[in-house]
Amino acid sequence: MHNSRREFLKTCAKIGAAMQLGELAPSESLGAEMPALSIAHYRSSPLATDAIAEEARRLTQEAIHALGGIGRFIAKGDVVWVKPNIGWNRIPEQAATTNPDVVATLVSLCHQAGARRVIVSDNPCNPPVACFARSGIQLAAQKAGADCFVMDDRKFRKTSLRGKALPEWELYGDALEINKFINVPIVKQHSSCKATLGMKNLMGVAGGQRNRFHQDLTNTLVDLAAFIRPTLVVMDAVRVLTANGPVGGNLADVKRRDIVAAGTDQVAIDAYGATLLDYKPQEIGYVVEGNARGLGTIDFESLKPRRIEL
Amino acid sequence: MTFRSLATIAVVAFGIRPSLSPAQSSAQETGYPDLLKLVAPPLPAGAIADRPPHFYNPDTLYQYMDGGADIFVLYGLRTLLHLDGQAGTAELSIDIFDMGAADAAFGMYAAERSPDYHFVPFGAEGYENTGILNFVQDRFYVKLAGFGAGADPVLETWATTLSTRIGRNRTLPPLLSRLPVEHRKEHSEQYMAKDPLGHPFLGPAYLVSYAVGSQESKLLVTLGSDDADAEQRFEQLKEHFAKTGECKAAPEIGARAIRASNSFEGSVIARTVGRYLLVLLNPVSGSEAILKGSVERLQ
Repeated sequence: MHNSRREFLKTCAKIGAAMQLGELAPSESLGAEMPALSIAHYRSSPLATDAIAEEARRLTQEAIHALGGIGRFIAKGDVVWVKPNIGWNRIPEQAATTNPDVVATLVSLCHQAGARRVIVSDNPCNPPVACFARSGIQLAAQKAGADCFVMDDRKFRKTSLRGKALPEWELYGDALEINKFINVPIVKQHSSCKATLGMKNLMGVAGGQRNRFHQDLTNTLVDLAAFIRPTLVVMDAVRVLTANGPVGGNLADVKRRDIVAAGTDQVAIDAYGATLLDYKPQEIGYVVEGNARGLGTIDFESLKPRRIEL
Repeated sequence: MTFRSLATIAVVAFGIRPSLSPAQSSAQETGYPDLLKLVAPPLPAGAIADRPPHFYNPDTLYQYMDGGADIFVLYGLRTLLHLDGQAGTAELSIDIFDMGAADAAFGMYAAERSPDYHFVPFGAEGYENTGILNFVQDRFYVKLAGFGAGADPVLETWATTLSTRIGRNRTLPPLLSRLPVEHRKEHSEQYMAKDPLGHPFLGPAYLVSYAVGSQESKLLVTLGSDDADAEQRFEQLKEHFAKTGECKAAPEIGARAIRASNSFEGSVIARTVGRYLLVLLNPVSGSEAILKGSVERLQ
């Protein structure tokens, strides 16, 4: 009886908190297990810039809502790192960097959940100042209230990862001092490893001679993923880069998928992302390795993803 | 004009920060005259560089392109010259890859192109889309990107100027013009420097797609160093098929030609002509003439 009463009070508290955040759908059953993967899809594929921005915002909101809302992941007072792909000196339409409206929506949601500070940053391959501006992410993130900055080379710290390929590596200091990490990749073909998805996006937390990662990219990426363990992955597939990635540049290589997926299983969401490029998940080395190490499941359908059509 | 004076002009013209990094300074002084010549002042379209050009070699290219560097290194990149600048309201990103040889430059260019791109007559061949223009000429693969109002015409001016400055070799690799044109799929040609179809003995090679009716065949032309080399590679091909599938003489194709098949490469017909080994993948009714025509044109 005592346990039942305690559980009842916990449930009341949850209902109250969720109602305050406005994230609780009337049909949610709080006793049920929370979903691990959601896939939000826009039925139309609008062309106007404003309409695409609205699409990206709605898809992001709905993908998070379907997982139980941002309150499931972010608590009052949290310091959150929202980690998009800002790697390339490209405009959003070229789909080499994360959609800025997906990023801005996440920043807003984190603030709504009471986050104390929301950081948006990345360690790009192309000149950082140009990447942050051209991608549209810096402006969008700052408008939404994020602390968006180009990384300071002096802040990378040697960190023990105890990985298969990386016993230690330089990671960005701020990323080691946060409460929550939201990984926000864009889905892209990659000329070296077939696809760049969530686990590949984590390279942006690392400094040093990253070309060495390519000596054993599969294990390196899974080492990073096992160490960082994002709270949440929000995968941008509003536009995807289907050829000549990761750099891209040619609009002819960009296709619209009009999808944002969100999940807590970083292997599963990468497995799903691979299919958006017409790959089988088993073709992506780091997805296979992540599954083998128990970091998540390659069989994303087994998670019974929540699918939302807008 | 000596290289040193060219380099000095380049530094003054780009003129920018009073202190260059040690890497940039040494690059200016010690190498890359052919690349620097291409971006000597005045820059096309009245452009002004943001800073001196930066150079990348196979060891440092990853810093600029991450995993995108692998394929350039595979194709034998020597040096990349990267330059950022402004021309009026357009911001420019200029990449000139010195691939070391015309074959390699074509191979790299062809690896990134798709037959359904919008092709333009710059250099030996090029394609463009909003904000980008890429072309190949001689040993250089040029990738131009522009942002902002008026960028596309600026890129075309840059392409014209760079092509003039490269000067020579505004044609695709000569071998391609010696292969049959009928049924050839436009813009399908590729150059594979190493291990075509996973076999070291087949590289380097050109690969061209042909469409006969609704079916597609691919012609692989391996470049031997001489007739004996081509024969040796042919023997290795026969051995491969004998071990993994079947291989028999095909006198109807030509003296010493073979017809072979396995579960990896499917069906092929093959023979040598001079220093070339010709392999037609997926031969279908009507496509055998492609092999025969290639033999006639390569003799």
